[in-house]
Amino acid sequence: MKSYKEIKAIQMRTVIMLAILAGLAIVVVMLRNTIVSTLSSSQIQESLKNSPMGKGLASEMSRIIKDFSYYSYSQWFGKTYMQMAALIAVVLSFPLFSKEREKQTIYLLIGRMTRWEIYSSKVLTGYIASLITIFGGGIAYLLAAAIMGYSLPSSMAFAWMFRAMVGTLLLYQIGAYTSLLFKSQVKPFLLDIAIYVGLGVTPLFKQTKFLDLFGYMGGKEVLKNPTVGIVPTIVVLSVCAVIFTLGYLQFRRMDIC
Amino acid sequence: MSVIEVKELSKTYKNGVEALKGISFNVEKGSIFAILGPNGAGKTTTLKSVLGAIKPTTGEVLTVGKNPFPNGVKEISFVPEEKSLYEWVRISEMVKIFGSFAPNFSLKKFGILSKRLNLTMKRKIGELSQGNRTKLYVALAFAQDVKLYLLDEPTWGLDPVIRKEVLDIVKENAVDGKTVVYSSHILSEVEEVCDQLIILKEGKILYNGSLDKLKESNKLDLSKAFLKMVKGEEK
Repeated sequence: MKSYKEIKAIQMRTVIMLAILAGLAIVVVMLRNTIVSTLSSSQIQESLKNSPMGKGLASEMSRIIKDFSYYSYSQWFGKTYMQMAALIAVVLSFPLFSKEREKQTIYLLIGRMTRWEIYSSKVLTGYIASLITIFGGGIAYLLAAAIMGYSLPSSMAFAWMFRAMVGTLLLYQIGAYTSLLFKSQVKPFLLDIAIYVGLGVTPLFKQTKFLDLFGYMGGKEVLKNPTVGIVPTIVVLSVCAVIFTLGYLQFRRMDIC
Repeated sequence: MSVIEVKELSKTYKNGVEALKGISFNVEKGSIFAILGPNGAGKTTTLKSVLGAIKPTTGEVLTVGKNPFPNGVKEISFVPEEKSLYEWVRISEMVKIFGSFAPNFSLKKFGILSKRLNLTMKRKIGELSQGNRTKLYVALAFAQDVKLYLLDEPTWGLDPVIRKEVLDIVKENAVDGKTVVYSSHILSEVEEVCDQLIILKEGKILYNGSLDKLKESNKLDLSKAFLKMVKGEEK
């Protein structure tokens, strides 16, 4: 099995990231009671009334208290889960090619496997590892919520999980591409972080709002209508496919030295 | 029959370094062919071009009758100058990983080679000395049943006993009809095993022919003939 090496290389990172994500999911569910009681205290309510941010903040807090779906969006699926998805994408992707070139272990593979075999086994194994991790983290949240007796519509949770998985594929694919460009591991890591920060600020400008990947992944609209968002999903997967292809063409024509 | 055909091969890297300047040579089936030259002569670039790791700027390379770039030729087993292996695994796991992607890998053959080279299987790769890494790399490479072995400094860091064993393995493979291309700085061992050679300097071939002819025409051993040739060029 050509991808056996890639599975061995990625399995430890996958298990660690999955454990962290599942742990965070449980913590976020468990903190619900504490957050609600803190927000419900008369002191906080008084402060909210006098806050210069006024009604907006008060109504946000009130929704967190009353509605577990909104709490799940604001504290997990639209926040921590999504941030962890970006972290998982970068952790799984940045050493993919750069580490092999930096350590010169790439010469074990070159000649013994075709460029397509090397490229596809590396990238596709990471795809699967990313999907398993993100899915596992989402399931951990759902289970923790069920155990604690909270009700979250599964259609809503699966819509968020689906979006997060699709978004992570793109972030991972970007990371896999940048990993191809450098011989050292630090540079692709830093470039990935810069790209993610760049994606994070795109909704601030009218001209770049369409690049709001995190907006799609977090999916505030899922609260009203639990849908995966077919059009943006197709767009994200298409961009992913384009970068996958460009990455392969780049790897195919590159000198390994 | 030529296993390697190199015609007017030039390679200029992106940083402008001209590593090879139109070299041509053929390697015949069943021979042990040495590539010699001082540092920066273009030996490793030549091996990597034959392997298909780098694209020639101009010229042509045919390895076992095929263009090796970009996909390589699966009838090759390569031992690079840096004997880098996966640090995070034990030797036994490394063998399993290698066997999962290396064509025609024989676990039985690896077992025989590892005994001959005195390899201990229980240790982690990260704990191995340079010599033990070389032994493991050589055992892995020769456990592949292929037509061509490309070896870049295959005895680096080895003690004289194991070095002799590696040279014996090289000779046995040539007897079996396999071809070995060998690059080394240790001229005495090259002299012991090779029949044909090229001497490279600054990307050009100074000598291309048989070892016996080189020694005969210079009335010297390989070391002296090599030094005379490389230094003579400088003058």
